[in-house]
Amino acid sequence: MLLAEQQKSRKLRRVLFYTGFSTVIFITVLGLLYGLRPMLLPFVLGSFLAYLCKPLVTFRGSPVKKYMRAGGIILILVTTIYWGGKLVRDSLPSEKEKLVLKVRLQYRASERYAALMGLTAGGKGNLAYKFLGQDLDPIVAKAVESLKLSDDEKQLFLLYVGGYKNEEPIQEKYYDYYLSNIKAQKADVEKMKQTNQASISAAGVAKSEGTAEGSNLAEKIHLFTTWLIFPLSFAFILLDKGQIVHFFMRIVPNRYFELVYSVVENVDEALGKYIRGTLIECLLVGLSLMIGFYVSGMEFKVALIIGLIGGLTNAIPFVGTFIACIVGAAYSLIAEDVHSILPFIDANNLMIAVIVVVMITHLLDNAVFQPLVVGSAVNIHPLVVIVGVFGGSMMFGFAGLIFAIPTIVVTKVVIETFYTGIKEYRII
Amino acid sequence: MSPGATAKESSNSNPLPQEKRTALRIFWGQLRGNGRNNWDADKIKFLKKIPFFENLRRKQLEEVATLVYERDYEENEYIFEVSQPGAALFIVQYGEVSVEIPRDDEEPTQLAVVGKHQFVGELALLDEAPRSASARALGKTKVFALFRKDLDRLSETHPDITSHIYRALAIIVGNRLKATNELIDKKLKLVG
Repeated sequence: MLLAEQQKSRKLRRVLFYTGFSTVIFITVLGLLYGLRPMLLPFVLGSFLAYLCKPLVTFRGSPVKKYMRAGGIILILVTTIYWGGKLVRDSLPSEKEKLVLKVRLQYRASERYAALMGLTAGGKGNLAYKFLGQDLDPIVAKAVESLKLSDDEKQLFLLYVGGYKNEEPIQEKYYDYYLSNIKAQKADVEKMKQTNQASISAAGVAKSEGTAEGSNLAEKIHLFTTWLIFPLSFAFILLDKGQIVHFFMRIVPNRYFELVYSVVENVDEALGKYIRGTLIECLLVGLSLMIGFYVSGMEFKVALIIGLIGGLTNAIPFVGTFIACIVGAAYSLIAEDVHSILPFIDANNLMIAVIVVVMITHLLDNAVFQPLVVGSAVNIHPLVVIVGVFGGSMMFGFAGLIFAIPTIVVTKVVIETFYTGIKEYRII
Repeated sequence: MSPGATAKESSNSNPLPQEKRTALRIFWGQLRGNGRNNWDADKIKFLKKIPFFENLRRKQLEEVATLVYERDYEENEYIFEVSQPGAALFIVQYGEVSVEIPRDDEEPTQLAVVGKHQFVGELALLDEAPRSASARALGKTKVFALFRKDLDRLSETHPDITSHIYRALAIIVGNRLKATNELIDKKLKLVG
């Protein structure tokens, strides 16, 4: 009787201890997460990348030691990030190129629309314009309005026309486009060309750049200290031999030990297959788009950027190829010097070539890439992925965008395995 | 010569005191990057005595040691129950485990009592078939758990290690089959 009471009292003490202890741990972890939130993204990204690279360290057959392999991976990764980043950075339009691109887009969009609707040379519009003009006019006007240069951009453009920051002066042709755009907007061109105003703004621009330099250094130091965790988490997780899982398994009660292990294993398997497969698929789609656009006659820089955008967004079903199509078509509007390997492609039918390339890539993706590299790892409905990705980005921004799909995969597998498991292990 | 005398002799022949030798061993161990400590060494020594791992070399045992999970069970706590999916083999580090088949409204039928250096649930290393019996701790018990999926993964990276383990498992299962056959034969003779 006394023993039973002692046992009951001990059980109560145990429950109280575990509840109190768990609450303290929970609050501490929440506090730490809140306090260290700037470090959270680099840490999670580093761990995520290490998780993706893990099979490269543990693969069989090579006599090279594990640490050497891990070192090799880090070296390859750093080199790829550096050179890839440099290539992408060089391919991205500079300040001057962005201004020229806006001017060209604004000019060519108006010109193409006018030609398509039969509004050139004082025309009153063709049949298409009579039917669709009323609806299309405000849309095109809005699109052209969004491409309009701001006052600061106009000043900067004029500075570049005369040669600014040791850059080649902007081509006469684009200056004519600019004038034509201005005329269309009924702007005062003469006023903007006044040298005095331009030189004052040039001095202003230079001054503002000078003051920005100081704060840039502090920002860079802060960025460096925050992102220092990235390579550290990457290296430690890459070299981890299961100690992390072992540590967390220790706190699992005996009754749930085998069940939790099965859930962890299933999540690891499904997540690994899905994420690695999706990444390879994105890479293949991006490459196909890039090669297709380049063969169609786009500049290498442009083909690379559009391929990159299409590849990156391909993780979201349908969206990737759709975005690549929109961006490619938009570029085909302003493309002037098209030198394709295929003789029948020129500036006038580049848009058709873009649509064909996107369609072929989409077909390839569905028929070859997806079945080969993703397979039937985790079957997630495209609508769930789309809602998840957009919802994630709305709630958590960039981090939400990146981790939406892994979170969906983990949630799906955990629910499925756990539900089956708790029945098999007779917990419910 | 008694084992105590041998130990005394060997310690006399070595000029370094025991603490210094232990410290040096840990230092060189850390320097080699093995991350090994006394506890790991004990674990490896223990695993060496288990039939599954007796033919493995030290380096191979180190690989296996990283896979096993250590679990503590209280008296009467179940390690696994009959009909549950089998996922792991359990090796008894200390304590005793009763292998039994539960009966409705009756005391369970005890098939065996497993002690130190013995194991239960070895068939889980082969497939996910449901457990044929329950395993219950008879007192405070410590076990090592080795999961099938970890072993499968080890087969991909270190097939040399798993070939030894599977061979030992085949021998154990074969011996048990022989014993069962003999038992059936005896029973049949008794009935006949």
